Amino acid sequence: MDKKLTPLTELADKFDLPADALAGEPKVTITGTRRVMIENHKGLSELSHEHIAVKGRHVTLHIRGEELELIAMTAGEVLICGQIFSVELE
Amino acid sequence: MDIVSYLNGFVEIEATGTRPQELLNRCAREGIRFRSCKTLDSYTIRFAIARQDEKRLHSLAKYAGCETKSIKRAGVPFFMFRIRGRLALFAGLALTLAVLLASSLFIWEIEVTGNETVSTAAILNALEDSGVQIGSFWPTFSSEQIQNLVLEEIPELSFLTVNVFGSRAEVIVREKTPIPELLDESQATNIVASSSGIITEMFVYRGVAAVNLGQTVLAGEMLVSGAPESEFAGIRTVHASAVVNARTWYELTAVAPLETTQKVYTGETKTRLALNLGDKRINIYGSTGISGAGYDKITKEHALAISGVFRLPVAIVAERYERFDTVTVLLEEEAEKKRLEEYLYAELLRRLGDDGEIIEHSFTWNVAHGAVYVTIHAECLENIACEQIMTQEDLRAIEFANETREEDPEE
Repeated sequence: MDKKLTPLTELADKFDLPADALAGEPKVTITGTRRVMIENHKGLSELSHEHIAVKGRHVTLHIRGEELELIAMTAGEVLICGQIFSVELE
Repeated sequence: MDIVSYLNGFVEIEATGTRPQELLNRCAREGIRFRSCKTLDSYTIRFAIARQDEKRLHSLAKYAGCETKSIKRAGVPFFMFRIRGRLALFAGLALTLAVLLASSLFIWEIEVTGNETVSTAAILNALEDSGVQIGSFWPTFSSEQIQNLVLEEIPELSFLTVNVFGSRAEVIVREKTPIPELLDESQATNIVASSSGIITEMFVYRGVAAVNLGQTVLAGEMLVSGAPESEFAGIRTVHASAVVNARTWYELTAVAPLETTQKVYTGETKTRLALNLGDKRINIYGSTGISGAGYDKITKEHALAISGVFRLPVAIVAERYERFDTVTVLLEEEAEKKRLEEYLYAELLRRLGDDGEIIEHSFTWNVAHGAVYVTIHAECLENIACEQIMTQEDLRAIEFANETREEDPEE
């Protein structure tokens, strides 16, 4: 996967600035094995017990696990709970 | 579902469509907050939203290509809507609240703490005299007045306070510390032996020793005289004081029957109910044929109360009667013997007091007339000094001896 960096992401990288705030890149927080919080998302693209796909600005996050549940969702944040096996970037 | 959702009211929605996640994306974009989203199958999801977002969600569903239906409405606003026409219910609730509020202004439970020697009944009687009793109106209480009245009635108390929690009064008392017995040095006393024994040690602090070390003394024999004689001042009286340690011997016997009666429950039980309204009792039963003999009674009172907060003067009393027969059973000799041995040893230690000790001991036992007899034979070391106040006769004799001495100084 060789994706070209956007100018804002490149700027954030060069000046060591937070990419989530500057370039609107998704920020993923994993707590233990049962909770994932995604900020700066762009909506859901897949939804099932075993797989939830969340779109970011230039990336799609695939959360795979068991008994996955969408606990809460706002325009900026998604909270997913369940037995999480992996979080993949595409 | 959290408490805030219940307070605001929430609606459970079931959405069906080819891409139900599209509906969730639109909800997020439109600011419709949803919680606990579960996927039932590939085309159906179920989630909860706030009740005020219900209409907006249904219209939004059309654009997302989903069909939605409300499965469940719950929470306080929906509950209030359901009971809106029921006046009797509201009146009942209001009446209950009014009764609860009014009852919390009266005392329905009094708890006394801090008393050790003064009985709770005596304190409750004194409180009743000062106006604090079951059913009294607590806002009129004056803690200072109650304290004065009760302390005047029970002089053994040094402090009393009444704290009211709802309809429960907590009465905290403190008892006076007893004044220690003062040694009356002007009182003439001798020291006599409390038990027979052989003297091993003597410490005479005041008075004159009347016996020697190694001497055998009998119980009641004078050990230290409180009337020392001086060549110039004659005989004077003092409050004799001494520690006299002696070897003493004890023989104590205890008896226990080897037969005893025990209760055997037949399994037959009867329960009687009664209603307590304040001091009045209303029996909710007719004739049960329970005589009292041959039954164990277990009484449980279920008061209308929240423990520690308030209590109403209404209680249901359940009296459970369990029938029993008495049977004679034989006790084990060895177990009874061991029990008596332990008892005798403890009793001997109690008699010796803190200063005494058992040097050597042995037990003998026999069984006769259906009972076991156990005897402890012990050699002990103890302080046998015991104060004895001089009698008027003793004092007169000393006075007479002094007068005779003055009249005939050459003698």
